Amino acid sequence: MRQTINIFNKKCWLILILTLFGSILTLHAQRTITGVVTDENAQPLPGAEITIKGEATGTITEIDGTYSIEINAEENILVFKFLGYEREEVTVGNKTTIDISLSLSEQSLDEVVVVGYGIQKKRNITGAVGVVDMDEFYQGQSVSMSDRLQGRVPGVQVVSTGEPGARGNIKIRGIAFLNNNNPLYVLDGVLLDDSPIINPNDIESIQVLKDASSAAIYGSRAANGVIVITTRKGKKGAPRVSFTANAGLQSLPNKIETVNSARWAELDNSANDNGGFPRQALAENPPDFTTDWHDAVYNNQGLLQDFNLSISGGGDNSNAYFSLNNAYQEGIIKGPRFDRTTLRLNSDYTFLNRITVGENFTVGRSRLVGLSQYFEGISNPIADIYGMLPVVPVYDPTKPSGYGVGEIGRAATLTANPVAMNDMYKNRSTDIVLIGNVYADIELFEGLNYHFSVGINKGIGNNKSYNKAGLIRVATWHQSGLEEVRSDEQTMFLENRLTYTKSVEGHNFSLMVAHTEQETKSSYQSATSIGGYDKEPYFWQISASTANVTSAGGESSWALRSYLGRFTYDFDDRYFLTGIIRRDGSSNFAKEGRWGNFPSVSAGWNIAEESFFNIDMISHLKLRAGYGEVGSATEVPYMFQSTVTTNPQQGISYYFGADDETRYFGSSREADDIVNRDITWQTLKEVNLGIDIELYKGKVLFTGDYYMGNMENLLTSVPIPGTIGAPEEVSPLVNAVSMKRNGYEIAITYRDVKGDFKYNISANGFHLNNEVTELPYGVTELGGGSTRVGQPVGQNFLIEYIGIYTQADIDNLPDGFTILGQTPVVGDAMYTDIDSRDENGDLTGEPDNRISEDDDRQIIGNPVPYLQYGANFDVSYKRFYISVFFQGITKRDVYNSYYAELNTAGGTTFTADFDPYLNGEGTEPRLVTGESGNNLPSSRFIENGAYFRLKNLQIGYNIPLKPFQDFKIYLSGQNLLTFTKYNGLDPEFEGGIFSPGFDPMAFPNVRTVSAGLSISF
Amino acid sequence: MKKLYFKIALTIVALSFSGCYELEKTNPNKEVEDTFWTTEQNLFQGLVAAYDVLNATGLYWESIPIIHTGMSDEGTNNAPYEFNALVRFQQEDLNAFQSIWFENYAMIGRAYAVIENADNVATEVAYEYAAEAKFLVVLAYFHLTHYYGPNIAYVDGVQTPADRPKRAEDGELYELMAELLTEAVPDLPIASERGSDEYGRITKGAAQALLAKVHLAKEYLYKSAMEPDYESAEALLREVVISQEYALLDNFHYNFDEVIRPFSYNEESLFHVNWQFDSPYGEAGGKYQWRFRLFSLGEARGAFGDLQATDYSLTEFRKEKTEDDEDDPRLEWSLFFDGTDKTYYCEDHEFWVEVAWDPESTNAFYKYSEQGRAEGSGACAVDWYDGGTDFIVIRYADVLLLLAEVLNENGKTSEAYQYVDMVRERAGMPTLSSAKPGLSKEEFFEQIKHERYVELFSEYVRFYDIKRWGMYGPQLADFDTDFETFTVGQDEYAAIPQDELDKNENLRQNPGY
Repeated sequence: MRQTINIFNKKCWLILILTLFGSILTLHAQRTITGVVTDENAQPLPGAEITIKGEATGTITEIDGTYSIEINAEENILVFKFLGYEREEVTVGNKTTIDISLSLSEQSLDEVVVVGYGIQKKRNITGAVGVVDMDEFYQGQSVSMSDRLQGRVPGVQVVSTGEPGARGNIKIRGIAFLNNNNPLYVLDGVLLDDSPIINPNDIESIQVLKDASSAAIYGSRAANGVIVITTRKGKKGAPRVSFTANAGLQSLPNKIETVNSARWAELDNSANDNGGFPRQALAENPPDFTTDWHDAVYNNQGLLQDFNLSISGGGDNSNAYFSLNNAYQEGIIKGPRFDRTTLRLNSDYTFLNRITVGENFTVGRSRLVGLSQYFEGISNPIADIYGMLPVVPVYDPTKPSGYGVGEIGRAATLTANPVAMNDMYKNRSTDIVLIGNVYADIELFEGLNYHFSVGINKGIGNNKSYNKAGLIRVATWHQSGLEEVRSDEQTMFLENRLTYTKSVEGHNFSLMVAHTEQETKSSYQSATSIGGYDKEPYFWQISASTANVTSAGGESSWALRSYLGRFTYDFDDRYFLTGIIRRDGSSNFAKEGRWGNFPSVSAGWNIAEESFFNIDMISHLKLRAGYGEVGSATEVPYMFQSTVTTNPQQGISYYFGADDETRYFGSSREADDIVNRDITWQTLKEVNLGIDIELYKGKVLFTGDYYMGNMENLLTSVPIPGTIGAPEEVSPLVNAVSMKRNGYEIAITYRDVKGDFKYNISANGFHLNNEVTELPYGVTELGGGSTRVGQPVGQNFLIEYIGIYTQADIDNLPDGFTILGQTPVVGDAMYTDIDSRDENGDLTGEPDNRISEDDDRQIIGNPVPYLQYGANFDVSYKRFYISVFFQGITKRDVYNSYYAELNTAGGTTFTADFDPYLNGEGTEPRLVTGESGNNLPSSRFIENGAYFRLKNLQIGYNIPLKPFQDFKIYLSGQNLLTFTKYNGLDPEFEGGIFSPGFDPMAFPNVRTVSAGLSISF
Repeated sequence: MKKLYFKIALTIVALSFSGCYELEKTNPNKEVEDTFWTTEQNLFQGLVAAYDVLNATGLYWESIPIIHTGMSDEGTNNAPYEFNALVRFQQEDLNAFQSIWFENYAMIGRAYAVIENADNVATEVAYEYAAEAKFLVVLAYFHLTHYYGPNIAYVDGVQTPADRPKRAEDGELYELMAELLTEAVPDLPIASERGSDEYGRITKGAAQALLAKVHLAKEYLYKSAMEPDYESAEALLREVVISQEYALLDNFHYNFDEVIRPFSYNEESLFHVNWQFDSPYGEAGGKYQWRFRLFSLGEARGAFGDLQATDYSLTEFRKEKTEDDEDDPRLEWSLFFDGTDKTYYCEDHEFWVEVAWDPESTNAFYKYSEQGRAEGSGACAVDWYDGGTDFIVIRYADVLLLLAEVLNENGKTSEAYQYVDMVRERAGMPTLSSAKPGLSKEEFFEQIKHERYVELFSEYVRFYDIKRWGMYGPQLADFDTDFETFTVGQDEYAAIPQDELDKNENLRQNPGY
């Protein structure tokens, strides 16, 4: 009869359970087992759960820890469970009394995890949800939350830079879309598009919803994955005060060595000689000094400091958490500095035993001062270092502004003097943010909860930049100017949520339904004046300008309305089911395409709980499978609305009248705004298969996920025919591209305690892959040839370099062989001729003895690493601890933009290791000024971009000191070691979406050495 | 108690479905097309935008002056510029001069916005605007079909980004053009009903004349599967003449120089492109003055810059003499030739020939070069700052000669004489009735060719004439050596921009490319 029940359980469990279960069970009970459950200290554990393995039946212990349970066979196994304690299994045999002592759990499977609009036990999760180990997270030294996630969760790629205040760029499971691949951030229920400006120390937990089945609860916002952040709350008990301080110095870990003046002169002369140009004066007679532009720009002692104070506490009915944080970061180049101050207050209050009201708020201000990486696109000090020449002095009193600049015919470079740039151009941007919500939780009756919240995300930005007039670049006198831009963005959130939970005989159900809305309103105003600041004393205000002031401004708004629901079911820790449906309507789409439905379903089966499963070492073995559909909108409002030019400034007008006196202004559909009214959701449909294994009672944890997804209706700009009626080609957004992707992610943790010795080793890695499956409207390539059907997005598309010509090679050349129309000579770059075009401009696939960038480019290597990984080692002995964190990627083929820029002819210095063919020697192409095949971008600059980096090393000691509960001091280092073959400044970089392998010469990661203190009482 | 809570819960759920934030958002920064086209005023603005394209690069600002002159047998070229290859039918870049395609279709698109939205306003004025817009659609198609041929994209309404218009079959665009203008004519006012501030706006006469031209191009547009519709053309042209709305100016050359002309309103113009008189070149990219015919006044080579008149042109002008055995008086206002008394920016012919690309080639264009301004102001330097003379697209003399041509075709040769006489008389030539009475139909047609050549020289009319007369081919090499490199079966039509074919698979490239 028991067998029968089991079969029914599987087949039609719902009806049977609710009606028959109890009575049948009581009829067929056979034996009674009794005993006491205690903790490690032999104290009774009331409320501990005892179940028969493989069955739903069970009981719980009484207040004194005793229990009594009826079983029907000797081979039964009893499972003892208590939250926060190790789970134990005991085979009954012929015992009638089983007393057991449970030990405290090191394990986290019983942790609750915030999964969006609710919580779930980690054990019950059926999707791919990455849970960040917060101990590791807090050890990060970066002032940004995003950077601290690097290498922590498989599938989550973080690319950081050392730019002050920069928040690392996060991608979850790689590229899904061609416009935006930023994940959604959910901070205490408030949905944010960007990594929030918050204090990392305030964060209680971070979960990453990676797959479509788990992210579907965020529907149209979730296609790039979701990072769910929950901040700290006060805990019951005496007030707890914590203070942490951390200060360090940053430096550049790597430097590209460049040539001295004499060598520059030699090389520059050879370039001009070979190109048939006259030599430059300063190359003919190089000065006896060499300017080290690297030293002139880098300061290499950028200060980093971070202070944090928090006070928290709580009583029976209320709790509060308050924190104050200040972080300050200087750049490793002279000039930029960042500071951030945040305040947080989280509190809640419970009354009438069933109503809780609370709030979470943070207010922050961040400020970036000085010329940072880019200034209006004209300068990038990181790259400018290498654009300047060793023969140009930093300061030159003979020049109008006193700075050394390039000079045509003497030492030509178009690069702006980066020191002058920093001195003359001032920039200050301030952001004030307010993020938070107020909420009420009401228990309507047992099992049914109502949650209501109102949230806000407000940001006020103020950017002011100004500069004196001067000369900081060859033959370019720039005017003085000032620009101020103020922007304001505010999003309001509303949420109504009902959650019902019910447990019947081991069957746990929950049903959540919710309605949410959000509306964003933004506006900006700007004022600019060029040329009005030429007399001392300078007043850097708009009103002080003596020139014209131009102003601009605008507003926009969008809203999202959503209805969502989630059903979960689990039975006996064995079977888990989650179903989600979300329906989103966005104001950014026209009525017809406005609403999108995003369903998902996922299930899990914990085999370890089955009665037939008796491998002792495995305490948890869960298989997971899920399918979900998520979407992505365009974030730009009004994209479906064609606008009309009515502004006379836009020039549409015509004169009528015999005397041509009357100019009439016209209106037409705006060419820039010819839009596709039909644009709608981009969708990701993804299958996720996963496995979670727990060995040796939690000492070893393994999680693996495999996913495959199809992205459909991806928005891309497609040039449309001129028959649309615009005077020039327009490329509106259309939902047209399709892609697929797949990948796997694994994470493994091993932890143990041996006496005073505790250790925790974790490692994770992931692989991802994507492929374009469809391009629209006859478009054969995107991204200038880097992206085609059947290939991943963003390949290196270059001509292939195969060395330099020797005399023998030249002798063997076919007649008429040319490179860019020129006949190669010894020392010239040799490229592979692969293709040609016929008279119609179509590729023929046949080589034509003519090398050109137009037809001989090919895909070179793979710019995406096969594997990205992180590994963490924590060891503590008594009060000492050491923590080591590595992060890296395997081989990827990257384009070294530094070398490409420097080691070709034309207005830059050269790297010290450059070895061009000169005077009959050399391994690299000779330098030729002017048009030459030797100056082409090619695979010559492709390098292996793999790296293995010691991201973080921390050594600390906990000092026993009354009255402090905790008094920890530590030394920490970031980016101390990097193993790479890449010759550029930093192998950790992110190129554009269509050029992921191209080094953008951005701000490199910095090495930081710091000391810190953490106390609490 | 439970029931009460449940009711509360249900109420919350019900309330939430009503929504708090509006999902219908309207752009607060700009006019949105959905709501714009609802007033007469806005419709007029749309119409102005369609007119605006007349001043564009791909139309009268640059491409029509170059192409219609260079690719006909009037103009030749020996300068090393991009369109050099084009006028010799050697253009290899299949995407050259795309602005002709883009901007004519822009005129069509903007005009259809007015046509389609006139019903929203539905007033007499609105339909008058729509009628003007229909004229502009036809004018754009007239340009496009004569450059690219009759098998281009068939656009007969406002396009959405998803639209890929079909390829027009032979004659389909003739039918569309004829239909649009037939609809437009009754809705348009006659010229005298237009106020002087409306000078330049399309009138009934302009639409009738353009419709007549469309009928005469029927054979061309049907690729010889049909005859020109001479009957319809005759009726329309007669109506224009009978209306007495237009007249020949006493002075032929007053048409081409607003500085010389002592009055602004030109009763000889049925339709012209309005350029702002005497405005600075730099304003708004120079779009309010036309670049003459791009004969490189910015070039040191002056009159002999980018494009010059064929050697043959002088021969044609000298076929007939005045009663005093002088050159046709129109010659010196049309050509800058060896022996002219005129100067070009105050320099004589000899001066310019010496700086020309090819000193052997001595004929340059003179018409519309506004030398009156240069001489009158003493501004002898090459002056970009004045290109304001309105360019006449349909001139009454053209209408009279067309009427004579269709009367002859309809067997009414004797009746046709009077209209040629009017044109010749005004020019200072003996009347045809006295000079060459009693011509046969064929002889009269040959005479019409001459009359149109010398009267309308370099007014971008001959390009259309030689196409509709079926003369466009290597046989013109006797008059213009550019035609020596003409490829039969290809160069009758220019290549449709390759990019357009890539974007719209309904289109096909013209033969030979």
